[in-house]
Amino acid sequence: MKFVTKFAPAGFILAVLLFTGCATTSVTRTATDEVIDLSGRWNDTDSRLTAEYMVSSMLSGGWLGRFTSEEGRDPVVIVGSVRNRSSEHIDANTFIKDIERELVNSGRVVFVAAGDAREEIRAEREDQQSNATLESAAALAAETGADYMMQGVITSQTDAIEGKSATLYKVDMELIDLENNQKVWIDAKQFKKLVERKKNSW
Amino acid sequence: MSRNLQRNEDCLLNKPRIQNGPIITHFSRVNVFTAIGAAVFPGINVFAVIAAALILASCASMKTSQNQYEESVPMAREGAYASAAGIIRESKGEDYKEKDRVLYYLDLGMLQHWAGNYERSNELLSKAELAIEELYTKSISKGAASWGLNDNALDYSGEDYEDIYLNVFKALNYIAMGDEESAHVEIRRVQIKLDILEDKYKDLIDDYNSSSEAEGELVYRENQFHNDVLARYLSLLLYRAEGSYDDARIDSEAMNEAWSTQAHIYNFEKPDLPALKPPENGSALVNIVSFSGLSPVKLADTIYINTTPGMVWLTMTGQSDDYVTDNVGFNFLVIPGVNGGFHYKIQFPRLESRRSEADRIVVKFDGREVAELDLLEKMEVVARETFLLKRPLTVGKTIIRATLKNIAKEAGKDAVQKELNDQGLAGLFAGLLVGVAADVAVDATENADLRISQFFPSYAKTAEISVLPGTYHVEVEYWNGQSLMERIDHGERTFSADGLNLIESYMLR
Repeated sequence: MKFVTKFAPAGFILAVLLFTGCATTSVTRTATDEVIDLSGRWNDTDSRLTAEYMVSSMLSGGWLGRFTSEEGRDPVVIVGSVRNRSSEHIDANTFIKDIERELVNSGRVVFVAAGDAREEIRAEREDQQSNATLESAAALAAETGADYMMQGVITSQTDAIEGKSATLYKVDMELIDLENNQKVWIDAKQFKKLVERKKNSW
Repeated sequence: MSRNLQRNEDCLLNKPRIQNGPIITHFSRVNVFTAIGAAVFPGINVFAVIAAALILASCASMKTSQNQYEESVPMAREGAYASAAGIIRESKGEDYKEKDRVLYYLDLGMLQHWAGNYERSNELLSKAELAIEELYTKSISKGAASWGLNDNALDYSGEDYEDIYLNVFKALNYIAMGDEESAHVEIRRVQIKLDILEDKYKDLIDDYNSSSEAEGELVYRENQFHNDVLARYLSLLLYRAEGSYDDARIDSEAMNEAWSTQAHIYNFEKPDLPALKPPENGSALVNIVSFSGLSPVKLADTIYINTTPGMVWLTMTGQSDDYVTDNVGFNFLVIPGVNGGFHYKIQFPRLESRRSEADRIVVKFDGREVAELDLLEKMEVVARETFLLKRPLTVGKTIIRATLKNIAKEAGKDAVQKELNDQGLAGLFAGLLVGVAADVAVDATENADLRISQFFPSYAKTAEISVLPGTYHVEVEYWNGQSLMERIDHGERTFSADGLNLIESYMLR
């Protein structure tokens, strides 16, 4: 009994340590437009908000009115590359898709596929020439040529001190006339993220 | 009569400071520890304390496990990287506990890089990087100051040089996979980490010195590593390959500066730096980056502390008093009022170079020697420089922890001996034995944390070669004097006038 009394506290501590070692998993569903910042790095919300801003800015530029009045039709736009020159691994494809979605949904420009998607479509069209019926096969050399290409670059600057870090993200986008290389629209969006980590302490 | 340190409240300990080093602390109020000891361990059965110390001393987590390296390190030196990686993988759970996860990811991540498994290497090195970042939020001292523990029981949060170089090797992984944009992301992270390092330990030491818990003053060693030439070299090549020549120029200037502003790290002849632009005659620029040797290991320096009345003596096994003085700043202290008979040890890790046996590395194209590589970075020197930044904290908390443990131990020994003295000669003998057992047990709990990744290289050497665009058979030879140590066959490689023509070669001996 004396032994039990003497070692009971140790047993209690051991039990607490064992129980605190048990891990549980919890999952919470959230809306995709809910802003969740966990690490402070570039995330889906940054991508979506930047894409919305850029497309809105681009469509409100003077170039669109000039083109439609001169050509009598909506311009055809293709999204080119968005280079990542930041200090984070940013999936540029997600950002490009966000821009493409905003462009298509705006209904004010004609949007054509670029990059790998275009190659895949061309391969399918080639295949149809041999394997599809004459009536249903897509015609060759009937692609819609783009009038403008949208390009961009993502950069970041990080400043850190005493467990706090501030990262300034800057996304520069521009729209280039494919016929004469003229830049008809340029804009930049910047935002800063401040991350505070509880630093090592005594 | 308790054998705790007895002294007057205002009788300050001499203020020992290392003259030539970054350290140390002085204890201005040793009796504070007595109070802490009494507060932390009230009424604990002395036999239980000694038994606990013996159990802790035998606990594997109190010592750094090195078993996993007995075979894997020689294998890596011989180029059997996949086999070495297999041993590391099998050691998970045994030699690598969860607290050692950073070490596991670093060791395996580097071996996968050497084995050419670049994607896997990046996964592992990314896990190491994330874990290091997470551990930044954890206290580095409170846990270690606890009774019976030492740093081995804590999460290994990585050395700063490991955190920096892991990005360099992730960049090389991305380059090998043809993803130069991601490679550049990694290189940019190096500079961010160097910026953070600038103030990292200064802030910690300032915080400690100004805290109410401060029992002495830690001296900050000023950071003098803020520009990594190896990372700049890769950055320059990446910028040049994409045609950003002005950015390449900035990297080149930063590399040049390193030899003047960080002369203690770049203490060798500056090599020819890469051209800022491809040559106008249409030649291809080929860059060879070679790694050799292995990064430093940690060894323990053990300092034994013994007291005679009024004096505290510091000794190191096999070392002279001068050696102790050079490393600690003093080898004895005059402390009026201190009782004799204290005996305990403290351990500090120190870095021991493993260097490279290769003193000459040459490149051959189609069997013809085209270049001898120049030293670009002594990675082991960078490791030492960043290691020394943290040292005041390591030493400071070690002394605090050891002192706390020994105060508790002495209190326990006194109480036991008092009880046993009443039981005649047998009791006296038993008391003596218990005292010796307590000394041994507490000493055994005080082990230096020797954890450090084993598979980073020691030296980086480079050369830039201008050749006609085309395909060449590339070999890199590693020489020691007149002996050819290793010839690495890089096979047929095609070089173009534009883009990145980088060959990474390595031999870890």
